Amino acid sequence: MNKLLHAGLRRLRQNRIFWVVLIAVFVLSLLNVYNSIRSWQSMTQDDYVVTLEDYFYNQAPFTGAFFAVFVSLFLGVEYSDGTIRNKLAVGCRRTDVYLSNFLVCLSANLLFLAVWLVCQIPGFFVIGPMEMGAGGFLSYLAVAVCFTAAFTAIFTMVSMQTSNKAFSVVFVMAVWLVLVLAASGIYDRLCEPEFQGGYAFIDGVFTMVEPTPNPLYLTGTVRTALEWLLDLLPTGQAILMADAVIEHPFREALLSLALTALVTWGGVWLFRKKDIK
Amino acid sequence: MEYVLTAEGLSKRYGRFQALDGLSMHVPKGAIYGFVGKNGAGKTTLIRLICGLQRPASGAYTLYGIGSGDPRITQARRRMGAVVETPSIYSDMTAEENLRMQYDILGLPAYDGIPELLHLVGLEDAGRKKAGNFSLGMRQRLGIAVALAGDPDFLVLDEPVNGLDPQGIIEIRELILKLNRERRITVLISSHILDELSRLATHYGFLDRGRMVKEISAEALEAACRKGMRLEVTDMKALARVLDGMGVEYKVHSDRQADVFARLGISQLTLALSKEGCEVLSLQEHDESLESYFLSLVGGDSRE
Repeated sequence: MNKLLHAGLRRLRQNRIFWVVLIAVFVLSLLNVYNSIRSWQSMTQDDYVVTLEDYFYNQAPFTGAFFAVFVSLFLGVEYSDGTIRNKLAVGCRRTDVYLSNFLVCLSANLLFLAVWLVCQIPGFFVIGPMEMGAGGFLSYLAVAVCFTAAFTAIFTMVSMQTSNKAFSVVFVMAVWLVLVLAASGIYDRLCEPEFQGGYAFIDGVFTMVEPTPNPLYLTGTVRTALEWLLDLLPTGQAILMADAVIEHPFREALLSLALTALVTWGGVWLFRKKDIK
Repeated sequence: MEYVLTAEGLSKRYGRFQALDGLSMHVPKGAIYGFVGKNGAGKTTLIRLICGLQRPASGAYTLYGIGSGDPRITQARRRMGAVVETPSIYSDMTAEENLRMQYDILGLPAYDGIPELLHLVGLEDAGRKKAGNFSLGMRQRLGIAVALAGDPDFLVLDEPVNGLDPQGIIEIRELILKLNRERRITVLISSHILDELSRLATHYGFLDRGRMVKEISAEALEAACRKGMRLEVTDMKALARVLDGMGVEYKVHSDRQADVFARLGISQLTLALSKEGCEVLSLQEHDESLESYFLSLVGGDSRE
């Protein structure tokens, strides 16, 4: 396992895809912080109250796309160049091959995450410190690290099951998109207000309307289940992070770790049964 | 006899296609074992099984006496190197970087052996050129170098000369012979280029429809290949009468040409034919080739 990990990290350092994604994350993060500062300046001029939290994490939902591209291309090469055979033919255990690939991809994805967060630092100096404080920031950081692990586990499993690199990229991106759509849908429903009402334009005048219950508002078990599901999905956590509305960071981190363990176990199980050509 | 690899009753199915059907084989230590079969006969499937890339549906094999179901089979595989189908190399790395990768995978403590390996396969001058820009022959040689990284004593090569130009074929042949003779490496080599295989192999396994039709040493094969002569005559009926009279086996190709599977006195035959009013137009001695032996074993129908 250590040997495979060592070899994998060597390959990572020399890998063009890794450097391209790293530079892309770096450039986009700088653009993001630049836009955030411009937006903050404009808002404060108009006397709106905005904080660093409103900008700092808004790139979170897109991190999954970078992870998806990197993992699918990096692992896809193992099949397209056939190099996975070199490992198995010399007696490396399939579990070790899978886990080392997961850990190498996780290392790269954590580095992308670090680049994203480090690039946001200028925001501290211009916009000011976060209202959530150091504790809040650290809990958000823990959630980000854990959902990165969950993303990596999911994308590793899909990539290791797909022998064709092009298909792997398409399939992994499709999985990411489905997860994004699922999380967005759930989040939108959970954001529905409990009551509808407010002002209405009646007979040429604005009139206060009595609030009525919103039929789209979810209650009871369904609401609780969807809240847990949103907390479970890495894309859900990323969306909550972007809006800086994470209520249960500890729960989300634990759910991500559980999802990572479960998906990795399933991935190893499937990979051990896979016929490799 | 000591065997590096044995297989008994190996079967493998892909959907409805029976790739291997109770295959058995025995690869002696020190041999160059030529694995002969048509496309789809099951050559690559067998190699995938013994390399641990796939699992047999039934049957078993042993590597250095260790059974495929034994957990120690992974250790036994450390003594082998393989090039399955296409060379397994990172196209965005140089030859040296590819070898360094394989050294890391094997956990070898130093990279000292890399220059020697590159020299062995004739890639010492490849320099900073990426493997993706290599010719097919260079890729094949790098694939073999990667397979040799762990200093194996069993090398598995799947169609190593496929698609190579004549120069490339000669280079690979010489490399395989060198590895076998100088390093005492046992080689299992699959091919359907029979002429090329006949220049290398010390043992043969003939495969058809997932089954081993025959295993034979090169010496035994040479003895089994019938020697004879090809005759061109003016009267085929007269030739047939004479050969029948001599009790000699023959095969008629046309009304003027036949193969005679015996060493006959040419004067005696010519005289006998002359008495029948038949002239010998030409006479040529020949050995039955590996190709015709193979076709006689598996039949001539082509299946792609």
